[in-house]
Amino acid sequence: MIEVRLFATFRIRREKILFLEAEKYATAGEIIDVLEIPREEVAILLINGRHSKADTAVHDGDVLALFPPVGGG
Amino acid sequence: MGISERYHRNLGVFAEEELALMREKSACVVGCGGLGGYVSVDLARFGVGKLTLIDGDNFCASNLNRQLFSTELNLGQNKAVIAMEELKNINSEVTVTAHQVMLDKENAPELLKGHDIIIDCLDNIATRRILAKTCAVLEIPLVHGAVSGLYGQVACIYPGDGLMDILYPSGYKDSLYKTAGNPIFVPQLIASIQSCEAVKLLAGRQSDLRSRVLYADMMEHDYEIVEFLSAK
Repeated sequence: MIEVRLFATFRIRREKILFLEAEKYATAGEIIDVLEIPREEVAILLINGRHSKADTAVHDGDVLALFPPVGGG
Repeated sequence: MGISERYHRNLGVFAEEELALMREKSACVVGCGGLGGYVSVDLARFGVGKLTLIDGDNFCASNLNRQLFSTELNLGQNKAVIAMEELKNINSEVTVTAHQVMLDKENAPELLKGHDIIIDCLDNIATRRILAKTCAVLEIPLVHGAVSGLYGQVACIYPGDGLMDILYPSGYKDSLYKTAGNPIFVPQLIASIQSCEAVKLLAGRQSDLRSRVLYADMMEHDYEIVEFLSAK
């Protein structure tokens, strides 16, 4: 399984933690797409705490964290 | 020499020596709107000796839902100047300076230099980048805060850790979060956490948010510190 953790406004109308079957997804971008998050809205993408890109490969046991930009004051 | 009565309720959590040290310290609050209003009053009441407030913007009606110093009577007046006037009434022992300008690449080094700490209370990504770059050059720690809807974040950014560039990679526009709204509760919360971390650092303590980010979710009351392994 891949654990997907969503932060801030990405949680609106979605769960904050999801578990997805690893074999269905090759890259982080495919997971972002299935969550119906526009890729350009992902400010930070971490895989196991490390900065990654949409084309980074994902594997069973990975923890993927997605953050939108939070910039108001 | 005892600590003045007005700071007695700071004792217990902070030692007398730390409170005395606070009187010698200077902090610069960049942005005097939602976050900056609360941060500036926190630092003034706590007893930080010198405060510099920077904001070129004036109060408008849409600020009244959340910005501490905005009132129906001061709409159209400069946010930094109004904050300075209010802080003088709250704690006349604090030296407060207001700059009625927007921070930019040209004025940032001059405005920020010499402070012990900078508090990022801005509302746009472009100026946050300028602020973080200048703080890195001047080697001043930066306490970052930002809000969006019922969500917010706080981090202590140290010179050279590159955290601001991680939080706001190039190409991200303010329009991506501007539609999320900005009710009063989140700036109040995030500003309190920023003030608390700023005071700890000024007292010579460590912050648990050094090069890490606290994400606050006031929708579900979920508060989490996220480690960014890429941050130096």
